Order: sequence, then C-alpha cells, then structure tokens
Amino acid sequence: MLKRHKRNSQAYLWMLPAFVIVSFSTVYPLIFSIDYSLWQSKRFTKISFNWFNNYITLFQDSRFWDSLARTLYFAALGVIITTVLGFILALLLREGTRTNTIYRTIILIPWVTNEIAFSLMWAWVLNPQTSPLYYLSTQYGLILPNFLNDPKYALTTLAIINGLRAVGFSLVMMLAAFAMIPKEIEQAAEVDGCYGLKNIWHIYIPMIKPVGMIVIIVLTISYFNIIGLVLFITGGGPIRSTELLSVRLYREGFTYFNISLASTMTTIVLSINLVLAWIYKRMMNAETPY
Amino acid sequence: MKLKMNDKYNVLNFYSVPRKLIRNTNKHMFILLYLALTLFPFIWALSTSFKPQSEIFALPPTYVPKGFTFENYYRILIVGEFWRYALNSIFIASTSVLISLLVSLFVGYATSRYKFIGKEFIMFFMLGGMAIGRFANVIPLYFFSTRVGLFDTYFIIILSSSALVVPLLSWLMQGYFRSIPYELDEAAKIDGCKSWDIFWKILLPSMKPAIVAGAVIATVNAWNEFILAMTLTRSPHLRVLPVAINFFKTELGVQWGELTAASIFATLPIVIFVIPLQRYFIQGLTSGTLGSS
Repeated sequence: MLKRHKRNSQAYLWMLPAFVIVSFSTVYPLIFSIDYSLWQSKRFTKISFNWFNNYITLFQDSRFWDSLARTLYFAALGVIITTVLGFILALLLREGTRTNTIYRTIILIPWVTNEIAFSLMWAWVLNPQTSPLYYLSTQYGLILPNFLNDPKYALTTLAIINGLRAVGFSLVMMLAAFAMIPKEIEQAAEVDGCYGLKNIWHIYIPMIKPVGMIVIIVLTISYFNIIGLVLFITGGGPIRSTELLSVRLYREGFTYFNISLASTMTTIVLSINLVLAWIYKRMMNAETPY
Repeated sequence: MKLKMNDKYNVLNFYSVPRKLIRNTNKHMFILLYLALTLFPFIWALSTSFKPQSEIFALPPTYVPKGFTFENYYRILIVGEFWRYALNSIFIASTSVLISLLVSLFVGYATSRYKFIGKEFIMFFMLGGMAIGRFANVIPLYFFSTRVGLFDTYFIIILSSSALVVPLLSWLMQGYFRSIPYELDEAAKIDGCKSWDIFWKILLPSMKPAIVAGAVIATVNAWNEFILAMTLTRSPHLRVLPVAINFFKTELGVQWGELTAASIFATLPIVIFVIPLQRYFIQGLTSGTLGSS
C-alpha cells in the first residue's frame, strides 16, 4: 500500500517561496522594529543603545494614549457598523432570487473600490459648499455640521465611512454562514412557533456566531491598521482629532524621520496584531461546519 | 419561504398575504435606502466628473450635468498622464497576481499532501502574515529597499503587495486541495509520476475554480495597493493609480472635476472586472477567510 505522506522533506521546498515572500512582510519588519525600538537613532543611523527608554517615553506621552484610544474607537465603531449592517442585509438577502443577487452585487462595489478613490468620493460628497446633501438640508431648515472639519465629528464620520466600505465583505461572510444553517432547524423552529425577531435571537445569531466572530476579528485587525483613508481625507486633523496610531506612525516615520519612535510604535502595533491573529487562529480551529 | 410553509398550517392564511407584502416592501425600502446612502458618493462623483468647471460649484447643484463634457477625463488621461499610471497598475497587478498565485498553490499542495514538522507553525505564520497590517511594514520596507537598491522599482511594489495577499490565498488553496481526492495522486504515483508532475498535470487542472477565485482576490488587492506603493517609490513614472490621485491632489490643489474623473477612472476597471467573476470572488473570500472550502 502506498503511504499518503511519504517524503516529508520535499514539503519544505514547496513551502519555501511563500515562506520567503511572507517573511519579508512579517519577520523582517518585526525584527527591524524591535531592533530600532531599542536604540536611539538619527534617521536610520543608530546612535546609542537605549534599552526600553523609547517605550517608557512613549508610554508617558499622552499623545500616544490619545491616538491609541482614537484607534480603538475608530475600529470598534467601524466593526459594529460593518457587522450589524452585514448581518441585517444577509438576513434580508439570503434567498437567492434574482433581485437579491443584483442587490448583493451592488453592495459589493464599495468593497472592491480602492481606498483612495472611495475616500475622495466621500470627501467630495461631504463638502459643505457644493454637496446636494448640505444644499437640500438647508432647504428644509436643517443645518448640518461640517462633518470632516469639525473636531467633534471628524473621527466618527471617518469610522462610519470606513465601516460602510467593508459591508460587502461582512455580507458575503454572513451569507456563507446562513447557507450552512440546515433547513431542518428553521423548519423545527417554525413548528415550535418561532417567528420574526424571536427567530433572529434564538436561531440565527447562535447559528452564525462562529462565522460572525471570525468576521469581527478580521475586521478588527483590518480597521486597526487603516491608514490610506484617514491620511487622504483628513491627514490626522482637524487639531489631531483623527490622529490614529497609524497616522502618527506615518508622520513620525516619513515627516520627521524619527525612526526609533516610529519603530517603537510599530512594535506595539505588530504585537497587538499578532495577539489578534492568535485569537483568529483559535477561532478558525474551533469553527466547524454543522 | 417561511410564510409559504406557514400558509399550509395557518387557518387564517389570508393574513399572510398582506403581511408578506408589507415585509417585502419594508425589505426593499431598507435595502434601497442603504444603497442610496452608500452609492450616492459614487453617483455624485460620476456626475461631477462630466461637468465643466463652472458647473461644479453651481448652486443649486445639478445632478445631470447640463454642460456635459469629457474635458476632465481628457485632462486626467492625456495631460495628467493617467494612461501611464493605469498601465503601471495593470502591470503591477498582473505580475503580483501570477507570483502570489503560484507560491500559494505550492503552499496549498504541500500542506494538503505532506505531513511535516512545523506545519501548524507555518500555517499560523501564514495567518500572522494576514494580520500584519500594511502600515507596520512601511518603515521597515522603506529601509530595506533603500539598503539593497530596490527602492523606487517595480520589483519592490510587486513583492510587497504579493506578500500581503499570499497568506489569504494559501488558506484558500489549502482548502481546495483538500477537497481533491488523494486517489488521484496515488494513481499517478503508481504510473510513476513525480510530485512535480502530479502538481502540474494532475492537480492543477482541477484547481481551476480556486485559481480564478485567488486571481480575483489578488487583483483587487494589488489594484488597490496604496500606502506601500506610495512610500516605496519616488519617480512619477512608477506611480500607480491611487498614488497618482493622491499626488494630483497635493501637487495641483483640489481640482474636483479632475479628481472625480480620476477616481471614476480608477474604480470602473476593477468593478467591471469583478462583477462577472463575483461568484469566484465570493467563494475565494469566504473559503480563504473561514479556512474551509
């Protein structure tokens, strides 16, 4: 009889190219950042070994904590919007009728649009001077705030815009989860007199929870690392109200060339990402088809 | 569906007709409202991109351009050389798709056909790659590329955007390879095929759906790459579309007519590309992310 898994060492050869390419964007940045985070440097030149002083400086800096808090708020609000809308839309569109398929296709569009074009369109539609949105609301006597230029609203507006972009993704995932629910369960629920909202609480939410959790964690990772959208629309302003960790890091790195500080922040962000990835891996192992 | 079932058992089944009607109208209302909200920016940008300068700031705003013109597109494509940036985007996307597809097919083959020490670790490593955000890479890769002389080349953009999509594709490929029965390999082995031949001649033809799915995902990823493409290049002739839009905004001030034309120009190809292939896109997305096919 033939053994299924015979020459083990050959496997490494097959894995090698991917391993090299992925290391280049995981291992290398990690080593680089940890290394530089322990040094005091001028641009890319190391000056003196600093132990953990960069971390201490950063942790004593209230601007760092502010940006971390903003990032968490931005990610949390975005994840809630994307997941909830994705769930509702999946609930409404889960039958594969013709109109539903058309709706699904249209909902996917923002998700494949590139971040910059998408940001630009939103910035334009929220421009108070020209947008029909502002024009119409003043006609009805409603004065809208300047969403992107008011420090009170800017971050929330960005989180919503960003949250709307990925609804297509969460819809697709939720639909896959709905497709996994056996028909018998729904029918049994009906016989037991379970309709409407009751159905949602007792059947759909528990049934799609594993997939839902994966969606949440994937989105959290992605939103935690958003940069293009914020950099392009507000660039961190007005008065730092949208300065996320990523924006700060970018500025420290490429405007001030403060590589030690930027590396320290990168190390922190990468560690958070790896913890999220570990949670993700555990969820993927736990997720079993019904 | 549910109500149909219900009708059979419900004595007062005449209630269910209006109920269903109301439910359906509510559903369509909700979805149409959602679409109006999310697509309005696209439609408004589309409308602006065909307006002459004078009409862009007109009040009340016009929805259908009165002085319909292609001027903005002309200025973007020919004068602003966006045709060149589009070619860059196409070149980078297609090369990066080929590379990332190939290496992740290898990974899928190895992890589904071999048992080896460290397999779990490697798959976690791949997943970690999925979690490493783009911007955490920006400074290290900038340093790396300037050191080894790859800064400001096509190569570094292709490499970095492939690196970010290989993990997702590897999961996708692994799932698909597992669904192909081992008997195929075994039969080929008896006939004296080496694993290299088995991979290319026996398994690859059955991987078509996964390859299409992977290709669509990798294309979307590469087409939309922004932050790495911006920080790892400097020369104008290497710009890809998103980078070009960003520079257009910072260098020439906010010219909304041209900018909206540019963003429509950057969006349409990928939308047109994905819509007919969306079934594969969806399959790839779900199986890559959920780890099962």
